[in-house]
Amino acid sequence: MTEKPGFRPAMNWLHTWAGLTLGTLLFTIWWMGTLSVFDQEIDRWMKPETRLAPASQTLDADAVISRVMEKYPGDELESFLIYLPRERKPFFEVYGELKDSGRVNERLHAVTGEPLGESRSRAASGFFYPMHYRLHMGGIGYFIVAFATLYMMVLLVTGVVIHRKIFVDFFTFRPKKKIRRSSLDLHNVTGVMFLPFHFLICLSGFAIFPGFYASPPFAIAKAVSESNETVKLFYAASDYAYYRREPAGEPAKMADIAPFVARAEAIWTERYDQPAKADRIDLHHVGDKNAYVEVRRFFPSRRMEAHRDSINFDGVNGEILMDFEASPVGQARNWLEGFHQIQFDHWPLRWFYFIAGLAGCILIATGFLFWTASRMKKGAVSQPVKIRFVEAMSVGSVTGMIVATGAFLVANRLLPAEAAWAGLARPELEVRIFFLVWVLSFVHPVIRSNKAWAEQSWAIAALGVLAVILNWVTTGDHLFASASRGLWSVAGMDLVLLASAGAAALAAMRLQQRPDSSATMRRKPDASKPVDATKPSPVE
Amino acid sequence: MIGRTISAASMIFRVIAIAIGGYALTAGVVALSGIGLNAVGVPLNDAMLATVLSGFIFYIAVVMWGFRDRRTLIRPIAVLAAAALTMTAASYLSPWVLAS
Repeated sequence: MTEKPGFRPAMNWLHTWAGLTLGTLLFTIWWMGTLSVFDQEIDRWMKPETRLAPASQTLDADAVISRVMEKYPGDELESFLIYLPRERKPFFEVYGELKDSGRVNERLHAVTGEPLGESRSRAASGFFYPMHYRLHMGGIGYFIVAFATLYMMVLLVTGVVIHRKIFVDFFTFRPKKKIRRSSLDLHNVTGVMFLPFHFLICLSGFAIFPGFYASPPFAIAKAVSESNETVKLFYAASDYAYYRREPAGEPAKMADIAPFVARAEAIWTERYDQPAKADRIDLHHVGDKNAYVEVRRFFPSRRMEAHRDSINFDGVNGEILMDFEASPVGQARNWLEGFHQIQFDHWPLRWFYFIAGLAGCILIATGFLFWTASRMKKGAVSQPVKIRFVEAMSVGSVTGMIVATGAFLVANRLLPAEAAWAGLARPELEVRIFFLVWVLSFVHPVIRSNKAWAEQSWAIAALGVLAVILNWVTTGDHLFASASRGLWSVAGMDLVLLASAGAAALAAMRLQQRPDSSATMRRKPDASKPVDATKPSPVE
Repeated sequence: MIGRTISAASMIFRVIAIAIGGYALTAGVVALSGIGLNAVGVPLNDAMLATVLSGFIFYIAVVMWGFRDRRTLIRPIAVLAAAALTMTAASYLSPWVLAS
């Protein structure tokens, strides 16, 4: 490795290497995050039993609670919580714990209160969304994602540093030029135009579990030396709004819950001077003298911030036990968390998130594409293995990830309801198909070299159209049927799939025009001074 | 110094020292500044929330500073030393804050 002095070359080096080594991971996180913008809509599409028309008048929380308590009578139920229906999720969700440590997990119709039937897919909220923040790897996944996110921010800042013509490039995109040139243009345009959003979306991700991400060095210090308690400082950063008390062991009759919800909403409405609605109710120690009811409001529907508003009532006599209100610093954190979690009801803004997310995906993909294209251009005959490796990695992590997503959707519509294989239930089979296709998409470019870009783009186009057709065949909800029933989640999903198929087909045709490396060299001998092919060229 | 070759071993040391050492340094600085804010009267959870959230920006600055000059090993060693220093200082001071 050779070295040029100066700030800009150093940052260029950092940008190139951080991008190359973390690009796959970053694309995965960005892509899954972009899909999670519409997680509920994808859920409606993948779980047809939840395709319910939006209800204007929903069942009372009290009625749902009494239903649950009828079903699990007497001493069976320890605690449970209810998510109230929202615009994007038109049903009640009930999660509970039984005294014998069994679990309750039910979805109830917003109007009739009838159970919706078993879910046969993990869909977006159970697969895409967790993959976005923990990669389905458990605890270590959170840290891998956090680490990659830090370096995404490093990439954004170094990208600005190494950039020479930031204002000009804001308006420069030359799609008709060679791939190397137009991919760099696209890298710069998406990078510059969405820079503030991209930076803030990275930073706000940390606002969700701030202390958790920052504490590991001191957690290790504690593992080495028992007496080092500094890690507890970091717990303080995540300390909010929890009221807890133990059961008394004496039975008591629970008060009606509906008045608690109304009281909490009245308190918030007055405090914030805007109509407030509760979105979650937690019941603890049901039927015990020490029972308490927590009424919460996480996501005010027309506001950016995620609140931690929580009012705890005594479950027997209705006394207020704790009323949590965030401090000013806590409110700043709430705003950042809400900015990231996008649970507000505002469709244009939600679409902006989706577009900005896609722009981030394009930013990462074109970074890869530029790296390989510029080395091809320089006639990198000295290290073809290295370039082939990066190319396989970039094809697999960019188009491969999208192909795998398409396969996941198609598998969701193709697998029979009771499908099970090798001990795996239907939801897990879908997930295995996703990973199998993804792995194969890394093998494909090893065999087909740079033709793999175009071929996988064609696969995306085919899968997109196929998914829409299969949705029609298996559920009867073709575009007009779902639109006329007001199911814009399903209709929108179909439209986005068709649009993606079209975009993928266009990209495939554009990529097939790309001359291979030898043709590029013949047509245009490189006029610039000879450069070591393994070294990143300075960004023009 | 143009064109000086850097050995792979020193590069690996540099990357680990700055990426991981920088993380430890950030945690140390976050803990110390949280302790400092608490000492001037900010409640502990607010103090830590504010410093933790700023810490993520601080880390970016550490990484960029660390890789700014790759001709010597002064910067990665400085990051490691500063990490050790701040974490030790925070460890000595934290019982005092946690007790109050």
